[in-house]
Amino acid sequence: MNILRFEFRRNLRAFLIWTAAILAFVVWMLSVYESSFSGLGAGINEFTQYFPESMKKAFGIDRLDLTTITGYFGMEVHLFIILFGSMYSTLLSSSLLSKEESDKTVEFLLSKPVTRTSVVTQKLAVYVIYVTLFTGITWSVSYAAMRRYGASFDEGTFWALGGMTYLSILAIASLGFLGSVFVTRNRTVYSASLGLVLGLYALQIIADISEKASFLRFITPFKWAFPADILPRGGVDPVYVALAAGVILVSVAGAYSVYSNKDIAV
Amino acid sequence: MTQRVAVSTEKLTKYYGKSRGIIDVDLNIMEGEIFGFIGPNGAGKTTTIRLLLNLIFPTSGKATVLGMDAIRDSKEIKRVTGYLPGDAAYYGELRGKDLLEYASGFYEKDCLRRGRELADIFELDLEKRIENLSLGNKKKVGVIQALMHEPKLLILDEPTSGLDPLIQKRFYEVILEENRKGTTVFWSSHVLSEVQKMCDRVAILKGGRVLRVEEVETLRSKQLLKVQVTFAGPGGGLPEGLQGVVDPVRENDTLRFMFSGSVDSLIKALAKTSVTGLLLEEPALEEVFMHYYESDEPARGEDAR
Repeated sequence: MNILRFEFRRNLRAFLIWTAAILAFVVWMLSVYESSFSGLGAGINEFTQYFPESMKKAFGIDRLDLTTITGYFGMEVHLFIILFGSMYSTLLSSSLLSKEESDKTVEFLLSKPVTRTSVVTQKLAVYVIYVTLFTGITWSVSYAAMRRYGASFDEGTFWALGGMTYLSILAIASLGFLGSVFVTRNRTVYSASLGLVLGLYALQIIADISEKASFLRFITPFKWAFPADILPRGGVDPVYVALAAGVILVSVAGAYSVYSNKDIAV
Repeated sequence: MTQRVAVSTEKLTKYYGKSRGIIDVDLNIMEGEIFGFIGPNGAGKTTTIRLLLNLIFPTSGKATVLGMDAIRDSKEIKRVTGYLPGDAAYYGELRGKDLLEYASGFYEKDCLRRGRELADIFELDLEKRIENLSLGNKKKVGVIQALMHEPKLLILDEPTSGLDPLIQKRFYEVILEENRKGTTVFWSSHVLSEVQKMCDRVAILKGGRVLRVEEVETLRSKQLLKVQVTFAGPGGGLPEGLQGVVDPVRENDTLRFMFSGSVDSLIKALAKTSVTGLLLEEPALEEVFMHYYESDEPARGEDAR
């Protein structure tokens, strides 16, 4: 628990900054809905019809209705939460173990009476807690803002989307956590983490644009929590839930196994 | 009092991929001993220490620390071991006291009192952020976190580098005090005078292998003499057949060498020539050490560099 408490405190400021910035944007976006989009009626949907086909598919414009609050949220706000949320989460998860090695604090840490398994468990707990807090807070605030600015909406589906968004972010962060037991140089870790997030996001766009590449939907967590799939369907696809759970479990198990047996490079 | 073994390694070997770490290292350090570990950079001192602490895994062989297996019982070992890394950092954004608090949190007993005591002894300001401390003061942080839980075994990797002479002196005193209380000390260093002063026995490491383990006294007095002879004329020289002359250096009429043969044979050999000056000295450990390095066969080609 010592490491958990220490790392929780150590990473609190970054959490507050990221969460506050994303929340501010989310609330602002949702408040704009009331003053503009809700009144536009079908006009806005007519307008988006003229967008290129691939763009409509990539952002789900073809399947979401911008004049409803959930459609607006799914198209404009959700991407922001999941994209920047996974960036924050992955930068955090991938730094927890690797930073000890690149900052040369690991010799201090591992000369204390603590098993490597316990080190991994406590570090893991840090990012799981922060990802949970991050998604929980942004989602609750989004919910409150939508209640305030929009008409009634399908709340069950909204929370299902939230749950799936949480699992997807957690899956991406867990991949970052696993990667960081192999790659430990700070600068490499940062760029690899951002590369991972943006790469997976690009795969989602490709999966939606191209029929041939639709198999990519099983690979990228961004597709698992894609509002244009979940909102019209009224729920999440259980296959994606299983995939997300699988990625998280395999990543975490891999991180335990590698970290417990590796030579600590300093 | 029967002496028990504090640290023991059997054929401990570590390769990093193909490059050599250490090869077949056998060590037996007794409880209560201050054991020196000397060798040049890259000899494998730090590798050995990291194996004892299970920071890395051996390629073959095994190590036990205070009767416990270095891999399986690593956590238990660390409960009673203090480690001062040669080159470590301590979360720069923390103040000294935050770090000691964090370190203390890993042990069941409260170590903060002892930590503050040590900070006073070493004159370390615990209110400053670690990143703003000088190199020597950072080292003090390392010393305190290694000592604060009153370990039974202390592993020190180049402990005094960066400490000013006054603090070094205090450091020696503190370590001797801990040793009197029963703490075994494993002291890795390339500062020989320090090892000479502090240690009971010393292992000499080179090219990943232990060359010798000696009592510090034996090592110093080991029949090795530093000789300087001045001959009466340019034609003068040592008679042929004198055994034990090492590294002779001739400078005009003066010959300097290390001598490992018997004093009697040296005197009788010199008696046959005409000598105007003779200087016999007990060599410093440095010179004994250099002698080992230059005369012992190199590390049998396993060196991957």
